Amino acid sequence: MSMKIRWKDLPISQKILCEILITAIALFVSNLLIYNQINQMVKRMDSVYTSNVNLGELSDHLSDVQNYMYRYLEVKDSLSLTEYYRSEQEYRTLLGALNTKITDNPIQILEKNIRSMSEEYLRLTNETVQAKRGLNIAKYKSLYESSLGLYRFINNDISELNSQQFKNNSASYRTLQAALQYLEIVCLVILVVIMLISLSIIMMITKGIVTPLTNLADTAKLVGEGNFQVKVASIESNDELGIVTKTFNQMVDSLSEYVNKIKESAEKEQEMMERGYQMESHLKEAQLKYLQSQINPHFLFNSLNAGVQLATMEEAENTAVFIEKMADFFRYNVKKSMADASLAEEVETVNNYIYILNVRFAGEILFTSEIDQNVLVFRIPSMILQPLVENAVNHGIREIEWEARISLKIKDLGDMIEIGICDNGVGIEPKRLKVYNDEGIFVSRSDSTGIGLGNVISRLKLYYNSDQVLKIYSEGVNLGTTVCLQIPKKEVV
Amino acid sequence: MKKKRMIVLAGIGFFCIAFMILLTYSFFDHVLKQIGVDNAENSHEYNRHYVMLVDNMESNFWQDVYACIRDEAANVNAYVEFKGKSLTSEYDMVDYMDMSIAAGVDGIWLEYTGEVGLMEKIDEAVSGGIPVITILNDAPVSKRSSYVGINTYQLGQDYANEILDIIPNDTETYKISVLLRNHEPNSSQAQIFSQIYNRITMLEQTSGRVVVEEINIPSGRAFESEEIVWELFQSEAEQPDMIVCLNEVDTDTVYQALIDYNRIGKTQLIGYYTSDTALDAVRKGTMSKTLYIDIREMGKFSIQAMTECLSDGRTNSFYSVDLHFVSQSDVSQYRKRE
Repeated sequence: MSMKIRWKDLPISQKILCEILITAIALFVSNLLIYNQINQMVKRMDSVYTSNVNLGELSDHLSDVQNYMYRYLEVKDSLSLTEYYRSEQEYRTLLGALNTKITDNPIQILEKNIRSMSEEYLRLTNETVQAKRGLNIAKYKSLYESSLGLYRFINNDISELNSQQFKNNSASYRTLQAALQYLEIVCLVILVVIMLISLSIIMMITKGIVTPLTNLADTAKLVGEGNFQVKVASIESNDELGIVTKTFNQMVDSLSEYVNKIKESAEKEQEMMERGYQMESHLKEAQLKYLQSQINPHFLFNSLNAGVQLATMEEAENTAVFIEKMADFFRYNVKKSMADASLAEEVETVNNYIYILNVRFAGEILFTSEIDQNVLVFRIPSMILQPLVENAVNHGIREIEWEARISLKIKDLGDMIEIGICDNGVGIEPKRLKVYNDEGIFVSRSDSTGIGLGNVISRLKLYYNSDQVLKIYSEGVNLGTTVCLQIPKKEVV
Repeated sequence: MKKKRMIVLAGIGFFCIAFMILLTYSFFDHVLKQIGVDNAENSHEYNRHYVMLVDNMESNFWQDVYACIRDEAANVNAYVEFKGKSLTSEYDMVDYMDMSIAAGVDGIWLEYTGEVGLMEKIDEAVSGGIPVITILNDAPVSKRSSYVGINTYQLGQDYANEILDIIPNDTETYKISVLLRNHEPNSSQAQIFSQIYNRITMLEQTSGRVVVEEINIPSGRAFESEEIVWELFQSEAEQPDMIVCLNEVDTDTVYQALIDYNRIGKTQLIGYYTSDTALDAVRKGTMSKTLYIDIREMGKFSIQAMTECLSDGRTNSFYSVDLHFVSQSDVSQYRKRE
């Protein structure tokens, strides 16, 4: 199947090549034609005076005939006779080229006359030579006279013909010259016309190439400024320009699509982030509430108050103090379960707890505290220190054989407050310690007050939004444990 | 749209170039044809070749006669070559006869001039099978095939009548000069003169008081007639009251001399042939009369005689050509006829 090649589908280089080729061929052909004409003219010019040359030859041979005849008549030598016959033959040959027709053309009629007279002349000369050979003096004398007369007429006619032809030829020469001048002008005009048309077509083609490029550049600028709605007017052609334009339009389309996608995803991300924050805060709150709701007051401190009164009535002083402390401890638990507490309140709760434990376990725990008094006013989530101390009691010192010690240290570090709870209990293996510190997984014991170390750590992390609030240190098994808490200072509202 | 424009542009360009090239080609074809073999292709070919030999090729009369004969000859497919003496020619009529015989022409018209040897040449040509027809001036004693021209006797009589019309009856003396070119006794002009002379001198009313003289103008030299006419008007002798010209060139010369010497009205002039100058002079009254010869008839008769000679071997020995004298009253008529 033959493919039809469309002009507009040709590559630009081929288009330009075609154009230049066509121009060159046009120039070549027109020049060829003109040069052909010039060639003909020049050939013609060369041959203009040929007829005059021929006549000169004719005249020369006529003179030869006459001269050799005369010489033969004079000296009667064979050489002259030979020469006479030779020149006579040559003259006859030349005569053959002359016209014999009767026409109204003066040159042709002159030629006819010359030819006829020459034939008569040659007849006379031959007769003269014959008479000379026959030694008929009177005859050859009169024949010579006649032939001489004819010789003059012929010569005269030849020169007449020569001058007429020269006149004609000169006119021809002038005509040819004028024609050559005209040819020069025509040549120039043709070349100028071809040049102008070629220029126009080249300009049109170039414009056809440059205009889409300019459009492309303008559009690219607009696209660069962020306008994705613009498009380059589509070109029908399938050449480089058509391809570039189509590709550019495709690029603009996909760019626009891509930018839209990015915009959408950014918006989505923003939304998701916002939602994430909200969820986190909700979660925090929920967790807080949940964790706080875990603290279940098992004791009804009102009944405890009744217990205090009863003990006082029974004058059981120690019992009364014990119950009172217990009541305070749970009251604090209930009261502070929803809100922050001051550091002082926390320390008081720890003291109460230790007192209760010492009553329970007959004063087994030696509790010391070292507190910078000026930090006690700062805020802290409630129910933090007591669970830590409880943890130290439950996991640190409960099983030990030696004297159990727990110390509470609160230091002012400037912006921060450092709280340390040290025990001299069973300590923690380094491996497990790493797990605690890295992953924060703790298991609560069932007989605790309800708030395990895990809970405390979670709450601290949420509250301070930091993983680095609490650290556990231990030198090793049976070498005790220190829980260290570093919190920023927060004023009591 | 653009493509269309481009195609249109290319089309116009192609057309322009093609047109110019075609134009150039046709132009050069034309040029080459024009300068082609001496216009040979424009010439017409004929069956017969005649030659017409006259004493003065430059005279309007002979040129007009030649034109008539040529046109008539063309009708019978013959070409007529016009030869003869002119100011620049080196040959005499005998030479022209020799040339024509040697050239083997089919027929010769000859204005017989009475030149020595011309008669023999006529005979030689006729013997060689070339018919010779004398025109205007006859060579009656030669072997010429025919004569086409004027009846000299008749013409002499007519001249005499015209002269008598002009001569006033009351003058005591009246001098008439007749300019002759050919003083050979048998020539046409001589015969015309003798007719005039005899008629005038023998008439009772004019004999004695009217003098008729002949003035011979030698032919062959340039400005001969001017010299003679000049002498005529400058001489001490009685100046002519009337000049009769038997030749077109002399007519023009004398007429010019009449003007130059202020002889208009004093000297009457009878001209020869209806040239423009002569007719103009007759119309103005500065020339009395001029001879009208029917050259068309002359052309027709010439061809008729020649054709008959060649086809039948013989023809009438004399064809008389119609003639009139044109005067002021009928000059407009002749203008129309011309």
